[in-house]
Amino acid sequence: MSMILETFGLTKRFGATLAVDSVSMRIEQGEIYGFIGKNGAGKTTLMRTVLGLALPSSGTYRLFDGLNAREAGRQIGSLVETPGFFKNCTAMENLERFSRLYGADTDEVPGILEMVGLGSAGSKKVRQFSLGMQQRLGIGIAVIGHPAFMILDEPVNGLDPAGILEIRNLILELNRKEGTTFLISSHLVDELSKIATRYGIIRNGRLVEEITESELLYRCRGRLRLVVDDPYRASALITGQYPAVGIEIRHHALLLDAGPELAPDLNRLLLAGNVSVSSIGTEDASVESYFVERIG
Amino acid sequence: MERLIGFEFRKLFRRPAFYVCMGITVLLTLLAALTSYFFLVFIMDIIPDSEFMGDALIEAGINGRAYLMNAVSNGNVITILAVFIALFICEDYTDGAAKNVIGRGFGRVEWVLARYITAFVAALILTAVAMLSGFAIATIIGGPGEGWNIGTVGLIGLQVLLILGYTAMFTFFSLLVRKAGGAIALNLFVPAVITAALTLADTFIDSETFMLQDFWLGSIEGNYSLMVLTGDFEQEFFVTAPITAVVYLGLFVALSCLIEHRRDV
Ligand SMILES: Nc1ncnc2c1ncn2[C@@H]1O[C@H](COP(=O)(O)OP(=O)(O)OP(=O)(O)O)[C@@H](O)[C@H]1O
Ligand SMILES: [Mg+2]
Repeated sequence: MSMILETFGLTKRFGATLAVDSVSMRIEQGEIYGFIGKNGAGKTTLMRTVLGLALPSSGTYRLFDGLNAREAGRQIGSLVETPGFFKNCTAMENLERFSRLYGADTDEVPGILEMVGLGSAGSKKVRQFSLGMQQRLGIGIAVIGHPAFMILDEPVNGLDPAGILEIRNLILELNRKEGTTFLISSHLVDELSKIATRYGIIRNGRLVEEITESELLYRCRGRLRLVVDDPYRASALITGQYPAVGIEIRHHALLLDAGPELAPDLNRLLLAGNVSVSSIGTEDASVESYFVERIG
Repeated sequence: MERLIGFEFRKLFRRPAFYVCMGITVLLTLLAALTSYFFLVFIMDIIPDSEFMGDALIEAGINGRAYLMNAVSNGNVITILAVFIALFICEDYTDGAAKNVIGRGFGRVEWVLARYITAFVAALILTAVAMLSGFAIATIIGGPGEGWNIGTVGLIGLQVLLILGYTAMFTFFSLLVRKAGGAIALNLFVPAVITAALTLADTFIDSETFMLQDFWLGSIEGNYSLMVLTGDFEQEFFVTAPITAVVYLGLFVALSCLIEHRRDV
C-alpha cells in the first residue's frame, strides 16, 4: 500500500496559540479518512498546512511517498473552509479557468457541472449563487483533473439533504472507481460514518486517537444489558452456557456481546441458577456519542 | 509558469473593468483636450485682433506631439492603475482563488511573477490607449505638432518606464495588504505622502546638488510633466530618471517575492 500522506510532528502556531500540535498522521492509498474535532480543534489548520497554504512552524509532511511539492500539489484537489473562485464570473468560466490552469481537459467542464448538480446554473454568475450552490462549485473545482487525493473541509456545509446524499455518493464513486483517497473533516459524524474507512480525532491541536471503521463498529456495537442481584454468579452461569460471549461487569449490570434474541434464554438460565433479573435491555452506543465523548 | 501567465491573462482580458478603465482614460483625455480648446477659444474672444493669433495659439497648446507627451497625466493613467491593480490583485485573496492556485502546487514566487507580468501588460495597454487617443484627439484639433525627433521617442520611453515603476509599486502594496479597499488607499496616498515628506526633507538638507526628490518615482513624474510643459529639459534628468524607475521596478518586484514566498495564503 502506498502512503498518500504522512505527517511527522507537524506543528502550527499562531502567536501563542498552538493550532496543530505535533501531529503524526498517515493516510494510505484508497482510504477515506474522517477527521473529527470540535470547533477550533485544528482541522482546517492541519489541512491548510498539508496543502502548502500555511507553512508549518515545525515538523514535516510527505505526500505520495515523497513526491516533490509541485508534482504532489497537482494531484490534490481541495476545498478548505470556504470555496475559492471568481465571484464575478459564471460557474462555467470558473471551471474552465481552473481546468486550463491545472492542465486538465476543458471538455470535462459540463460533466463536472452536471456531477455537482449545477447543470442548469452553469451560466449564472457565482455572485448570485446560494451558499449550497457555492459549495457545490467548490467541490466541482476540487475534482478538476481527477486528483488522486482530495482534501475536503466540511464538504457538505450548507447542502440540502439531497445534496448531502449526492456528495456522499460522489465521494464513494470516486473512491471506488478511481481509487481516490480522501481526507474529510465534518461535524456531521453520522454522515461521515457512512463513508469513512478510518478516523482521526483531534483535540486542541493534538491527534488523540486514530481508529478504523471496523474498530469503531466494534466499540459502538449494541450490547445486551442485564441488571441482576449477583453479577458474578450470573457471569459464571452465562460463561458456562455461552463461552463465546464477552462479558463486562459494571456494578449490578452485565454487558454482553450478544443480540436481544438471546434475552429469553438468558433470563431462563439465570432464574434457574437462582439469580434474579430485574431488567434486560440493549445498550446502544451511537457513533455520534462515541465521538462526542472523545473530542473533548 | 506558462500556465500561470495564461491564467492571469485570461483574468485580465475577461474582466469588464479593464475595458471600462480604457474607456475612462479616453474620456478623460477627450475632456482635457476639449477643456483647453474652449479655454483657448475663450481667450481669443477677449483678446482683440486674434483671428490669426488664435489658430497659432491652439496649435501651440493642442497638438499631437504635446498630447502624446502628456498622455499619462491627461488620461489619469496612474490613478486608474492605482485602483485597477488593487482590484485585480486583491480579488485572488478576497474571493479565495489563491487557495486553488497554491493548493495545487504552483509556486508562490512564480505566481507573483506571473501577476507582475500581467500587471505590466495591463499598464502598457492602458498607457498605449491614453497616448494613442491623446495623439489622435489633439491632432484632429490642432495638427500633429512640431519638434518631432529622437528626443520625443526618448520621452515616451521614459514615460513608459515611470508607469512600469508605478505599476510595480501598486502591485507590491496590493500583494501586501490583500484587501482592495486598503490597497487602493495605499496606492493613492502613499506616493503623495512620500513626495511631501521628501520635499520637506529636502528643505532641511538644503543642498544645491543633492535632492532626495530626484530619487523618488513620484517626484520624477512631477518633474517630467514640468519639463514637458516648459520644454526645458536637463540632460542629467535623462540619466537619473530611467535608472531610478528601473531600480524601483526591480525593488518592488523583489520585495513582493520576498514577502510572498513564506507567507500563509
Ligand atoms: N490565521 C490564524 N491566525 C490566528 N489564529 C488562527 C488562525 N487560523 C486558525 N487559528 C486558530 O487555530 C485554532 C485552530 O483553528 P482551525 O480553524 O484549524 O479549527 P477547526 O478545527 O477547523 O475548527 P472548525 O470546526 O470551527 O472549523 C483556533 O484556535 C484558531 O483560533
Ligand atoms: Mg475549520
